Amino acid sequence: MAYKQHFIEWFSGKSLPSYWDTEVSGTYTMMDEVDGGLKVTCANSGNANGRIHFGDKRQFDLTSSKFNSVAKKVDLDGSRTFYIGLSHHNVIGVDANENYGFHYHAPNVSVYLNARSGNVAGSTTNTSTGITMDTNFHALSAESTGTNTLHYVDGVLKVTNTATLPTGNGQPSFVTGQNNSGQTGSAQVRFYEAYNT
Amino acid sequence: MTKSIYDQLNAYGTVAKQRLVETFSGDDVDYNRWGASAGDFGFSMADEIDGGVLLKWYNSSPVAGKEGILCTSDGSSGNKRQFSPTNFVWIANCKWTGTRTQGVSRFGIKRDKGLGFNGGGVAGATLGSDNAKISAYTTNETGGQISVVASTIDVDNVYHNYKGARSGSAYTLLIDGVTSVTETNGYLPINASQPFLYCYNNDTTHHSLNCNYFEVYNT
Repeated sequence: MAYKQHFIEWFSGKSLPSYWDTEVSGTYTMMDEVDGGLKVTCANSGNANGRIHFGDKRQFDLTSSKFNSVAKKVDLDGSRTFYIGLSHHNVIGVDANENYGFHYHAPNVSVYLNARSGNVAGSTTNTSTGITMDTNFHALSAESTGTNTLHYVDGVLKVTNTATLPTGNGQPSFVTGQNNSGQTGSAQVRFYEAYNT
Repeated sequence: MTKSIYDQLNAYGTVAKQRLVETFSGDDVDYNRWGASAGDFGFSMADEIDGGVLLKWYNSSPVAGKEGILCTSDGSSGNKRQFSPTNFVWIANCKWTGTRTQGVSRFGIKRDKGLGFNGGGVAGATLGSDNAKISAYTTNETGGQISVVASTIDVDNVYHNYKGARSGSAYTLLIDGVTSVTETNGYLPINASQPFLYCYNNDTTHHSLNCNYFEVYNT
């Protein structure tokens, strides 16, 4: 069987590799701490976000792919968002965007980490994983089969989404953002793997 | 077998810890990942089969006392120390070329990006003037005490696979898959560390270090 696209990132070393694109208003720092990986921080202005992606080089099939990641939210309060997954657009990966992954939108919306899938029409389904969002690293994995998306937290299947499924192609995406000015928000990631199945 | 690298490396459901994998292939060192933080050695990709990266004084007239270090930090970005000093594994495929009078090469993990080894918090291996045998090289961070514990294997000029591992108080160095050295003096690092490759010139002739694989992970 022919080898399909496979990407792996350890987030180790001096700085983020150049094959990642970044949103200019964010900051991206390899951490000087054990198991720290990369820290992404959004700017202190309205609707700012920090995000890494492939600049719309979309090599992954959103109907037949999987990603594995280890990531965490650094801060939970305010309106600070968090997203990790595979998404069609490099913009925040949240709304009006084909994607599947995980999303958190601060306790003023939900205290839970959500499984997310979005379709080409711009409709999005958020389903609670039942996991109260915290500031610990978690293994976040999801697979898209074409008929559903399967979302795993720390190795346990938490959500099977069958609505608003993506159908196009996508790229790795990791986002932290905020909806209100006067805040900053951060998230860390130390592993990301994506491959077509 | 699963396609997932993650699933191959980690027990199911495990939250993986930090890992670095470097194959040193391509036209240049990846200076997004690595930094030449100090010193004056040259770092280049070798134009030879299995050559990896080559650490060698970069002109035709080596100078005694010159040294260089490649680690995951540089002068502008500060130290990036993502690996535990007490629960880690590092693996390196390295080849040293030279004689003991020419200099020394060391590699493993190290607390600081600087050239200093006294009190630098090191858990590595040494090839060259430190000992006639391939040796474990460790230092503590408070008294600047250095431990060089020799294996029974002569330093030579061919590739070997080196694996340094620590779990708690024991640091062991495996050479080509065989447990060869256990550090016995208790001179071990206590703070977060980073991978490093290092060379020092004793005289005015060339010696060098090749490395074609380097992996570090927390356990």
